[in-house]
Amino acid sequence: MTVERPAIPADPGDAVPGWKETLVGMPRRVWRSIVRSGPIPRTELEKAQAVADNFFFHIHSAKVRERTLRWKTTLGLGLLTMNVFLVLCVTGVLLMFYYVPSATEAYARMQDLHGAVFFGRFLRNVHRWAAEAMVVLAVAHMARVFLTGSHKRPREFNWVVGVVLLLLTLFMSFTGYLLPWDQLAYWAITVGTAIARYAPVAGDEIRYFLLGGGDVGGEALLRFYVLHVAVLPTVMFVLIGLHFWRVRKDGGLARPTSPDASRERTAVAPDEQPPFERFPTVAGKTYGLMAVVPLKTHNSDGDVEKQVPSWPSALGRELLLLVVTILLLSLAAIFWNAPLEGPADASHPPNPAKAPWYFLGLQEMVSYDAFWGGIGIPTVLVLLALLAPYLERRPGGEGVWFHPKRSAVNWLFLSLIGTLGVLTLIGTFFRGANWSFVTPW
Amino acid sequence: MSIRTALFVSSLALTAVVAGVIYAATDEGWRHHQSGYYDQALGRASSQTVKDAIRATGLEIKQDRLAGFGSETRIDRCRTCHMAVDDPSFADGKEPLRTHPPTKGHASNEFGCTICHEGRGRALDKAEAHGDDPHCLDPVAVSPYIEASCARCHPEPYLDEMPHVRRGRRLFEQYACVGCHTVRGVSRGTLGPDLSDVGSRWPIAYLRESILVPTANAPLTQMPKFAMPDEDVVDLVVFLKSRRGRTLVEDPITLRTRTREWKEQRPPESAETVEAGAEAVRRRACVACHKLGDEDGGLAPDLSLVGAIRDAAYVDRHLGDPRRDTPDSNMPSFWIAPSERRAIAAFLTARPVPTVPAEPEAQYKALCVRCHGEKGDGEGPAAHNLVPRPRQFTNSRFFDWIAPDRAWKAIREGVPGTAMPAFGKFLDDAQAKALFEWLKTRFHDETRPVPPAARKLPERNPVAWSEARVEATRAVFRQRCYGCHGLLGDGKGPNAPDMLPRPRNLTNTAYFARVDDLRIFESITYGVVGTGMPSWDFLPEDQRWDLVNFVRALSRTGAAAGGSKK
Repeated sequence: MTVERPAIPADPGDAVPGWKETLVGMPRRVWRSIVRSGPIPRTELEKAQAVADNFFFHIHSAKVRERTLRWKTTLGLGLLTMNVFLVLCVTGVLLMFYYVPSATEAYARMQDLHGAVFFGRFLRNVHRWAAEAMVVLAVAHMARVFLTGSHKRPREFNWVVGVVLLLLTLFMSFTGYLLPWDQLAYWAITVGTAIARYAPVAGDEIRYFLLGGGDVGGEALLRFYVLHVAVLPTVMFVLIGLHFWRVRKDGGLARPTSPDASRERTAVAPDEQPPFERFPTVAGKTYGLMAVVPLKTHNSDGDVEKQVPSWPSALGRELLLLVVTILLLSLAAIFWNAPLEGPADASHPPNPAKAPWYFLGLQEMVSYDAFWGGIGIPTVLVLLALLAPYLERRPGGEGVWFHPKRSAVNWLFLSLIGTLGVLTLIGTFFRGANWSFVTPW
Repeated sequence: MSIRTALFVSSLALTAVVAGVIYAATDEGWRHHQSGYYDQALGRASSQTVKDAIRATGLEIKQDRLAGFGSETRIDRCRTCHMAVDDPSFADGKEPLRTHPPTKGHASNEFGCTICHEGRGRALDKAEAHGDDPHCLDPVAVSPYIEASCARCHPEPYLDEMPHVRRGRRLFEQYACVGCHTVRGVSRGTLGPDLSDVGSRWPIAYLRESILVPTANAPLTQMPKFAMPDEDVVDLVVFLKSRRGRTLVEDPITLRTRTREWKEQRPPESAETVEAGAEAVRRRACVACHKLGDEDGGLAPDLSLVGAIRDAAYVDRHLGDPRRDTPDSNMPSFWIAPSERRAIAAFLTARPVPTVPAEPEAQYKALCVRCHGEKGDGEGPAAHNLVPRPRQFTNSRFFDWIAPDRAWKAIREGVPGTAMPAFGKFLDDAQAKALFEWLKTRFHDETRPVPPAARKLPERNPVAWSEARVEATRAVFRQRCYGCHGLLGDGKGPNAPDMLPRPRNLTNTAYFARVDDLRIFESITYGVVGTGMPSWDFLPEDQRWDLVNFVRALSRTGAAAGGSKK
């Protein structure tokens, strides 16, 4: 097999190429200076280099397990969430060109988007449905991670980062909810922020700080706008980077423990093993760079033969998911318009006034008990979520859906999520005027 | 399916979708209207120059930027579709390509469209622009409601082109709406909500509904359900829609309310004669609600009887503050000078007292029907506007249980604090007894035996009234009584709308002044048969007495009346 090595610049020496040679060779040199590796990688080495040499690809390892690529391992949920986030960034920036965060202008701008701006309604629809989808996908991704036990050691902290990202996603969606400045937005934020009041000690102060006043008004709009377009996206970008980086550094996706590895683990308590000493750090060996995980590396548990190069297997699937994401969001945007009610009017509360749908579970609980529903239980749930990997004592079950060893915690998780889901459904569809029970049909 | 195929298929699909979106974005409805306009204009064009000019024109969004009205700048894009509004050759065209009828001095590029027609000026989609969705406060206005827009700049005296506003303004006084509602510059009523900016707050459908069925949007409202023909409703709605709090020009009505004269104005005085009273009753449109002679508003008690059942002092008092004697009355406090009140009282009490027939049935028809209803079911024409509601004689359980002397007394002396007047001048003791007996047999379908009440009642209230104990009882009241009688004890608890008879207003001083402690205690202990009041006999006896004292405190009667005098 002939290996076509990437062009190594010739030793400059003293030879000066002629003008003709320089000009003819220039396009190729420019191209090479940009992409560095060969045109289409054919050999394993080239495929590895194609990934490692590329800034956008190097978040991947050179090779991935076949298992990682299997549909049922992750359902692609994390990547879908990321894709939707990218769509949100792009459409969001485009929408920013037309938006003015002022109480007198914002609603008029929405109307402009609906007619006078080319693609305006489509952009707004995509942004809206992508925002709703991101909340759903982030929760689904979290459920997948938990139900496959992927949040366990050594990935505990990455789970915590994930929970923080989920909360940021909710906050991001919440801040964006106000921006159209219509009745729906105004009252959803009024109700949503009213829940903060039930917090002990500083409830009113928190709300005041968030809204820049006692009520939702122009100041609140400006604050939410800045949070929505500057502060939160930046924080999320950083945390998403951290999230991905840790996935790499924790040895890729969690996977079932092989019999060998478990024996190894019992032989040497992992805590006593400084991660970098278990593997020879021989200069020039790529796996030395990856040997940062105490338990297993790609090369340490003997499944090398089950790995395939990331190019093109992983990258192709990722591209496919991106295309499908954009396709589905575009279709949703064509068939359903993002809601826009009358302009915000503080003197016309709708009955019932509802928070954004993902907070309706909370609102439903608030209708039973203000403090416990709005503050107490949510705080406990968030704490539980943050500490889940540290609270789960029993080892094992990583990388397997509904592992029998973990059935108890899985059921606990499912029942908590299910209860929240049912409360959200009740709050969304079964609550009418004065929060009385109604049937939607 | 391999990844490659999937990628290929999905990319194709995405390309198709994007192409579709681009096509849809370049194929909006307004483009069709505009090219339709140019096609027709081409046919009507007279010279080659005009034709060339039309051919050279591209499609574009037409936009009027209007800064001349109020503080905000409006943007109207209506002419993007309605291309022909300025083009006189389209007088026979079909919407949206039709010439606007001539408007004296209202050039569309200066005034725009939505200033009169409402709707959403910025929108370019038909449904959105015309406001065909429930969220639009002001959808495109049709005749006659569009007159309300005229009034935004053309205040009183209203133009000839605005007959409905003008008539609505008159009806607002004729139906005595002015008594309850404030409309700045027009009226000063305080019983109902201020309607000065009602037009900018509610859509037409809501205003219409609120007049037709007042309880539709405010379940506990005291506003009467006027029986008015539909054209009156429409005109009132047009007038109300024209009330937007502020007008776009300096409006004499608004200006008038800013003057010192308006602020310090007192109601006009009147001669205290019977004639002046008759004139006032006519001018003030009392018969919009009441009955007087042959005229009948059909909503409130019959004034023909006032001379016999009330005295002049009462009428004077009642006109000054209707809620002084009857705390829940929905009679408005009209803006009437004391001299005019006395004139009206003189006129009403001077009217000859009609003779009352001897037969109970005829007596019932003459005196009781207006409130208690022909069927004795408490559904007389005035009943809906009386709080507390007239008793239902069909409530057999209540009338079998009630002590007859209490009923006779109610007929002869009336029930203070309610709309039940004293009929003592018409009916002597025997007649009252006979009437009550007749009522019981006439409206009883079946007499249900009431279980013999072995009621143990103490001789007198053993618990001394003290402010501290009353304060402590508030918690019991909130726990036991709040649901029906309300937090304030005014009978407007959350369950109240579902109950008939309605829970008693415990703050009704005039009513409770005539009720002794024992009766309150009895009602609490054993409940009131035939009403929603349940028996609370499981509460400790002293707690029940505390509640009696609490009711005294609420109504400022009995021991509490003495307490407050100190």
